[in-house]
Amino acid sequence: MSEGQLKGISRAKLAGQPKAQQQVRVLYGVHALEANLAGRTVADVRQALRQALNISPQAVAIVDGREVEESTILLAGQQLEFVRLAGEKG
Amino acid sequence: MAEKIEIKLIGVGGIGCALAPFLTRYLQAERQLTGEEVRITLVDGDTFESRNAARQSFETVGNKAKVKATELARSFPDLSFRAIPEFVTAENLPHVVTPGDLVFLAVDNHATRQIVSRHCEALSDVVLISGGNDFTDGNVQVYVRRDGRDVTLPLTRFHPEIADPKDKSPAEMSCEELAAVAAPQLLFMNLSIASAMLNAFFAWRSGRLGYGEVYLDIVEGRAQPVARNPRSGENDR
Repeated sequence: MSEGQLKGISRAKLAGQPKAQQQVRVLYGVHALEANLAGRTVADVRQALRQALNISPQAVAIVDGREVEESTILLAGQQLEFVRLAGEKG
Repeated sequence: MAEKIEIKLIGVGGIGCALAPFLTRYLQAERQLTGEEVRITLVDGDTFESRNAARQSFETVGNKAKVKATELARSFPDLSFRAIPEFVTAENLPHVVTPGDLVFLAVDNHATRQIVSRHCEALSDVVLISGGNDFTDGNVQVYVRRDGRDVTLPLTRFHPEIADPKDKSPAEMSCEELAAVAAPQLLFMNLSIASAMLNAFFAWRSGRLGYGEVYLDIVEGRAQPVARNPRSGENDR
């Protein structure tokens, strides 16, 4: 997925910080991307990527391995994962 | 002194059928090198019927665990096989999965994943490798406990669909319900998940397991491993 598909979320910048310092890594299932998301909330990112990645409303959000609230503000260098639901069949 | 390895394969459906011959071939070759004693127990209460043949390979009609254990014993005489022709339940699990086991969980419902994961959480040492798929994607989770502590996270952590399953274990379902839940599946996806489960097994066995979950999508041609390590204090629950 390109940054352009992030519906403007990647344009969010913290004043005075170069882009590279605002990168947050986002994972959902097999998808991984890095974007300028520092300063945004988990809810912002979920909303922005919900359709593009088909993120389940049930998907738990974890930041650097810790479950977080939707209001959590992301920091540069963090990894946000929306945990994709497990495959059911076999 | 040669070690002993006790393996439980729970679920002998699309994933289990794909996994079993490669696991046993590998273990037989290893046994010839190391002398390691291997016992494999297949657990499934389901019966193979001809309509399953698109994704599952059995030589005869009958209980899946029994038929597959008989087939494997014939092909791999250096290994020991046993069959438990039952679905796992909270009641029989203490007899099926015991401390020190390596468990391959290849079932088709979250209710069973939940009870097996919860049971393993109470064991001192266990390795649980669980796979599941939808039509063209799926995941593998690896839950490792050593010396009474979680090395990776249980299946239920971060997965509310497993922690609080909406489906039923086949042991709780009527024949009509069992027939109704049969969703279309792709043989290749079963094979991908089985392969990823075996890859995780090899990584763990060689001391190089660096993830707790891996996602796969065969249309996208992608796999994404992710760490699932307990946070500080999580082992004190």
